[in-house]
Amino acid sequence: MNTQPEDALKRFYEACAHAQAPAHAHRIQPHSLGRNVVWALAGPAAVGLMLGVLSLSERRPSRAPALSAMTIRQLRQDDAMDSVADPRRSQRVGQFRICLDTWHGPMSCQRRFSSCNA
Amino acid sequence: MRQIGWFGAQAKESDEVDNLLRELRPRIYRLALAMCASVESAEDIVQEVSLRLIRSRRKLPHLQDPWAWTRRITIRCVLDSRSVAPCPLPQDLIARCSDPDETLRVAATLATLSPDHRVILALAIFEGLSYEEMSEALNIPVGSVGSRLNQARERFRTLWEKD
Repeated sequence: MNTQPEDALKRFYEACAHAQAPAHAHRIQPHSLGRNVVWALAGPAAVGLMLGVLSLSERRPSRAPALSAMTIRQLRQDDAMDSVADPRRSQRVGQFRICLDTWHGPMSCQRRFSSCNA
Repeated sequence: MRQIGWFGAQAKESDEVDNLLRELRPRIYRLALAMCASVESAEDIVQEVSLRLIRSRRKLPHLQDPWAWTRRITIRCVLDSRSVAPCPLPQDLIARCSDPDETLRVAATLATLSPDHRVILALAIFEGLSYEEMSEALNIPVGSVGSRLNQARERFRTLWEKD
């Protein structure tokens, strides 16, 4: 083939430059709390929830394990998955309930949010 | 339901992080895709970078160039991830290319390069950085940038022609 490798590489990068980034994927991977929450709930509420969980970890280092040691066992939302994608609808109150497996046993958190103003 | 204090107290901070993430996420994804040539790896990198941005949220208001800082985090994540998860390229990317076979061949060739080489090729060609900018982004001397870039180009060419 006569294609110059560097030209082919440039064309590949040009295509990458226009690739559609997934806006928010409902992908739940059961082994990383941070990734799951950020990715599954991309939006204001997701960041709020993440900050909440991180704060828990930071404020209580003796009790809260590293994030990677946590596993989401359940993530239940009342109409939250769609709500967080829409700025207007995200003002609605949603509920999250996450159960975490930690080094100190199961930990359950229930949170409500209305966008980031909760 | 009882409202948890720290959740509401960080609303403003949360807004800032969310706005920054919303703005940067497409750029992070495209850079990661250029560096990894794998959708799955690129998505993982976006998640990891998002998490690191949130962890470093207190630095955000003081950054002069948030993208340069985010790019360094992205590079670190790509280098840390080491392996590339084999997975199909996105349809919109393939559809945009005049020669899909060539695109797949480039992705396959990139996947066999070392992370160092994939990263420096993307910085030089995809991001169009100067040697000085690459030196800063990679935290290596300018002279090393030149030699690493030449090695990466040569390696890519060798693997391409071997295929």
